Amino acid sequence: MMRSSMMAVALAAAIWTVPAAAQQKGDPARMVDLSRPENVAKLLQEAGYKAELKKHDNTGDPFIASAANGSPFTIEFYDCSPAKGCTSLQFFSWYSKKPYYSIPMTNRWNAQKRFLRIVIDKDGDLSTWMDISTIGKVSFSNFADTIDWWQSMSGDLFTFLAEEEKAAGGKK
Amino acid sequence: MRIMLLAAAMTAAFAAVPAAQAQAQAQPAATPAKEPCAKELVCASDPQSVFAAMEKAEFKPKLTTDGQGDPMIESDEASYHFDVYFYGCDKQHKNCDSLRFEALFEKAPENTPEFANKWNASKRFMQAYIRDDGQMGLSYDVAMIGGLNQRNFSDVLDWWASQLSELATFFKTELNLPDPPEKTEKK
Repeated sequence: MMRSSMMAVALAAAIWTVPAAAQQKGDPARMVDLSRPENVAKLLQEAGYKAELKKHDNTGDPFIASAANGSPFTIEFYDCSPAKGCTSLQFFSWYSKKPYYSIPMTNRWNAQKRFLRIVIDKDGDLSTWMDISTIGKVSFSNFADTIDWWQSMSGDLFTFLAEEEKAAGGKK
Repeated sequence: MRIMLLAAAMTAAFAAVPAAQAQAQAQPAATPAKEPCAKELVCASDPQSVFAAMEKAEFKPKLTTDGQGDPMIESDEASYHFDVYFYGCDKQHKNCDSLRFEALFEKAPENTPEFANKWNASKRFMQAYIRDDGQMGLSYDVAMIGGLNQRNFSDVLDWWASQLSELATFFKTELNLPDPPEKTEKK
């Protein structure tokens, strides 16, 4: 219940931020640092995505709430310290359990698709991840390309899931 | 009727040949890179930059080509043999836009989707899957447009190698493999 209302809010936010995608400021060849969550949030916005910097209630670890294809996702940060920032980040999105979800289904995806690793977790939900190193620097256009892979593979996943659902005989 | 059609098709085919040649000749010998790789960066559009970084990290890379003629790098200097594929290359096998690190394991009874899912659910960076031919594949895809600096790419290599080493531990734990025999002292 909670989840679907959050989805709706994120969906609305995603639709409103779409026109921003057309704008791009700064030099795409400049080198950017992804080790600071607040910096990553700004870069995401520059690439045309919404980005809200938050903290997990239980651990206090930073994360960014964003959305792509009208669906929410978060960016989690790992191995963080005030002095050095974080050494890696992870794009993460999950979808609540459906009768047609199965481990053979995730394998069909993982064997054919790049970048986006999908799993059925212990609750039967579908989790999707993409991990990125944040040590050193990458060009802004590289970061934009990384987001683009996440956005396009997540979009591909929706098509894949629709086909899987159909093949499963319309089990919703 | 069929013969006439054939003749027409043959004429068309012959006529098409010079056009195709002309097109081939029109291509400059070296197509300029769409996104030139800035100095000191690592890019898939510059296979030599990937090769040099792997050499520096002591992977003893071998630069070769895959079945489609695109660049490919092989290494035996990790827990397992692995290949680095260049993706998104143009027809001249240049201007590639991304990399894929990949290791393959031969068909075995433990190669099940459940086994791969177990890895995927608990580990990072490396994606596990069972192929139609029964082989288990492990891969890590990296976006390369615009380039990564040396330090970032060195960490990419580090993640791949450390996850391959983690995989060896995962196999051992999940499959209850015995410890290798203790080395006895030489008499």
